[in-house]
Amino acid sequence: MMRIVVIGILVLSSHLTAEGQIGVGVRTGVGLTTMTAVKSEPLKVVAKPGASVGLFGEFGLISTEALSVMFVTEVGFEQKGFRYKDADGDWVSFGVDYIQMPLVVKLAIGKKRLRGTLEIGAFAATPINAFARNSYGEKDRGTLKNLTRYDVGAILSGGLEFKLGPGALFTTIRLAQGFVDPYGKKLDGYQVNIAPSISLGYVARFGKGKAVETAQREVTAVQEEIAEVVKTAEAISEAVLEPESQSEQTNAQELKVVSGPGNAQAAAATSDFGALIQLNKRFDAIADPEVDTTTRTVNATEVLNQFIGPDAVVILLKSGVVVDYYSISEFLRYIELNHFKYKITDREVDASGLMSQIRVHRID
Amino acid sequence: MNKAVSTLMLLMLPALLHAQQLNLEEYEVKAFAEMALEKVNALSNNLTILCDKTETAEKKEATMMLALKLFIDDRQTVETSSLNSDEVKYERIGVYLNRLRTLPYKQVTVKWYDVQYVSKLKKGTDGKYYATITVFQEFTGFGPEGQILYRDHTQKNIDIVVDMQTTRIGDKEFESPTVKLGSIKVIQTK
Repeated sequence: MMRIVVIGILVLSSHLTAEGQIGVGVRTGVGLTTMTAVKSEPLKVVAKPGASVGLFGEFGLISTEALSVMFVTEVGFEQKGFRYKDADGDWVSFGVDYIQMPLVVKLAIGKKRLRGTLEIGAFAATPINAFARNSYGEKDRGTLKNLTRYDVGAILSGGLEFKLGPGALFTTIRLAQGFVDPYGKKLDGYQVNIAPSISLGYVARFGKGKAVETAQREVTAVQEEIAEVVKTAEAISEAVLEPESQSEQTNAQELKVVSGPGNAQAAAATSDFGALIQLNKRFDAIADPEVDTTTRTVNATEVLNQFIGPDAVVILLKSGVVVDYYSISEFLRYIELNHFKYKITDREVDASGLMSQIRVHRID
Repeated sequence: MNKAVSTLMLLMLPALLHAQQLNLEEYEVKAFAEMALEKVNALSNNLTILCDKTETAEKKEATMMLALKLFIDDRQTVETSSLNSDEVKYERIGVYLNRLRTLPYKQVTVKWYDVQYVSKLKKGTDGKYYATITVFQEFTGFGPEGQILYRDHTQKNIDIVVDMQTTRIGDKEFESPTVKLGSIKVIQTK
């Protein structure tokens, strides 16, 4: 059975590895474990502190800017147990060490360095060591044979992770609830492990996540190149659409007919394309020291009217890397005072058609 | 148990402090190095406007705001020197920029030239990236008749820092590595 589970995990892991980012990590923690009675008079038990340590692998399932979903497999060492008062009023401590294998789905939420995490899943465990010790210090190491040879249960945890180096430093608060009575029929009733713990660890992440960043950078670089092509196209279209001869006029009309009555999507794309060209022209006019102040002011006003407000966001790029942020009003001042020529790479438009954010790159 | 928790927190502390370390790829370092040069050129343009007696107060105010945004914060200092004295004075960037608007000349020109790196962007022990850009400044003060009353040439070094910065625009906050200008030091005046 165990072999089937292991093979299943390996097969699943190899498939998931192909889909996304992978990570390897280590966690260590402390907890207070106890038992809860399910079908009996509750044992008058108190929690017993225990340590845990685990190695785990993460396999990315979904990765967006604000949300990552991962499948996590782990092999760990867990100290569980409890203490209770016997009939003579003496404290007896039961300790059980488990090898535990959690399988959880992990959500990491947030797009900054600090992200919240939520894990939900199950675990399987097998005891490898057990003891009972009374308040006189007498210890019985023969209790392992009395234990059920396995435990299964559910895991729920929440925490925080901080991006650090190639991975993240994390801390989690985890609750592991067992479903199997470790003592079977050897104690009255039916008891199960419950183990809240706090962990600290580090996960190093590799693979597609970095590749995605690189790909995004390359896409941005391509967008910058496209913007360059657009600039050239502007010059060509100006030459074509302001013909001097009759034959050139006819060619221009033919060009308009070709680009005019397309389907709705093509029309929207053409409109968007035209808006970007128009906006780039206005940026050029604002940055041009040869243009008079009135014209620059008119262009600045026209640009601002296309945004949700003066606090719309302008993200400055260099070779696809985000290097600075300005509000649109600051940005217009920046290019006007410094005569820096920038072009739009892409834009975000709200429901009313106004721009809320643009990305720009320097062209001169 | 309390001891265990305290120990755990102590173990976490250096790691948390370390969490602000930047790890820039080569292409990112190059991009920030280019942006640093753009910011130095922007500062040069801003100084020209602030000194220009023909510019309006409104334009100078807007220029001041943009110039201050180029720096890490308003605690950065600028060293100034004069051919008339061996003393090198320094003042906060805001005070310096404001003083340029009120220099006792009929007209002032400040030109920066030969802007170049003297040390390239490199990671420091604190996880930030540092560089130094040197500029040569020609400062000229003109009298009422347009005659030159004072002129000097000063080499200045500008500290460059790339660090995680939180930029607030409206109700949005962006946290990302950003290149900023630091203090400006006088190397020589002649």
